[in-house]
Amino acid sequence: MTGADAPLVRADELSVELPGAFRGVRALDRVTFRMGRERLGIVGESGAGKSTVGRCLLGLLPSDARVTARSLSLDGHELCRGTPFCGRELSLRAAPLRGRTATMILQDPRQALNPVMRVGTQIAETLRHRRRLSRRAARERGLETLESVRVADPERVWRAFPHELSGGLAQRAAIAAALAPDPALLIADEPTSALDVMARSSVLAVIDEQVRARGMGVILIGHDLPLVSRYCDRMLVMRGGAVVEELPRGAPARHRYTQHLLAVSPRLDRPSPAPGPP
Amino acid sequence: MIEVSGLRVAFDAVGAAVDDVSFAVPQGAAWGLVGESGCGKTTLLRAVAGLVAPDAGRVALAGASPAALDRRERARRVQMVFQDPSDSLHPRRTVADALAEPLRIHGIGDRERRVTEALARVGLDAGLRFRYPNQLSGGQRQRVSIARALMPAPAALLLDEPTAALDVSNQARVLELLARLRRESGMTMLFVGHDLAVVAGFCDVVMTMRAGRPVDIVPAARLRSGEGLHPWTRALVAAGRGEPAAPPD
Repeated sequence: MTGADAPLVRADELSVELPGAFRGVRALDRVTFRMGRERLGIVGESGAGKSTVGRCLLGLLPSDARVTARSLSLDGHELCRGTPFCGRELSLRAAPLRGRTATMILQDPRQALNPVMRVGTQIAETLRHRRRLSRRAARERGLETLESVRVADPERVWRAFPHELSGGLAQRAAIAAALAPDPALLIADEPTSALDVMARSSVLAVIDEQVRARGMGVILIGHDLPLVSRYCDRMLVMRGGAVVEELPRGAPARHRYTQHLLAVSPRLDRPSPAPGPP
Repeated sequence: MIEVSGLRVAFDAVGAAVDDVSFAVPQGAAWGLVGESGCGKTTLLRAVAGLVAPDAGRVALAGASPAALDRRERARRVQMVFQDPSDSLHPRRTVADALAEPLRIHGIGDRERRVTEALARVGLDAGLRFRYPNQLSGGQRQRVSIARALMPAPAALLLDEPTAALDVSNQARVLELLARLRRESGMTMLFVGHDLAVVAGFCDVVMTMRAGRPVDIVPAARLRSGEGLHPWTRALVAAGRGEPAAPPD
């Protein structure tokens, strides 16, 4: 099904219009990018459309959202081409890929994990449904995955409820749940924004390590440009639903808006708060 | 202005959340408190605000213990701004209501004009006064909660991760606003955060904490130069840069 040289994600003029109060406002405005099994960052302020890109790929838009694209494909599967789709149609088309070809981790692990279900049950659930593993095999694979994301005591975490874990540990459990089905693409939507700085660097290091070890692709979404750039091969800078600049790793920012994002990022070697937006 | 000596706050379930903490913030200074989640920063701030009672040691606000002050007097000495403005603003009250409430409590008249002034002071359009919190952006909401904290004209402002729920641009704007308020009013500020880069950029002096105890008290300039720091403080500095550093034991 998948051509060896086919890109993992291909989005060609992807536009999304959200329903309700936002009708008529384009959440995404002709976003075009391609990625292989690499580390792609998407940065921008709140409301820039970063999360919508990730949600689009998994078909997780409101059912009456309007999606148009010249082409949108994930791992060789065409999700949308030419004719406008509603969110519900997109969801149906993406359903076979969701949780198998691509998985997602979210900002706050305590909201992403079911609070009344043991962590292990949640990790096993994906494996049993998506990989058709037996109960025992799912448990084995799940525990291995927990260990691979540097959980010191996988058995304890397996039995724990989400509220019994610290934020950093809960996020690593969520990462394990996302990695366990061996997806080709991991979408990490602000995975560290709800964590403190110490947990932040360890969670990002774990994602990075696993993505490289498994040879998969990752979309790392965030608002902190220097932080995201540290873990990505290239970055898309978004504003108002559109991509304003594509930035290879280490390249200087050319667009004014990217320079603004850099200027407002707090840095220890720069005492005063940076000036307002351009 | 804010004096803390030998402070200990313990909870039954976890033991001492804050233990053996002493420091003094002079009038008009801005101090930062930095540490991991669960290190006791917020508990310390709540003890300073008089929201939790110390188990040992004492807190003094301009010489008086918060517990000894009557509620209104205490509110004029310290006000607090919380991390998530969606939680700290009443969802069914308009901006104008939220800002007028402290005025009513303190018996301050001319509310209409003061509410408009307060909005202008935090850089919000007067037209936003009839909005509900869910009709504002995150940055605007945090400005409203700062404006509300300013209503009783407090001598000190306690800021509990005031920018943690905001993206970097809004964070910069809110920090800029706080810096301006500090210049204009000479308020004493105690700023709690986990990101040293943010806190050190705003404060004169930073205290780092670990497991309820103070680790280091250093001028912000020295954090930038990096000399003579405790290993834990250095680990926080590295983590703030996004470096995957293992914390020292």
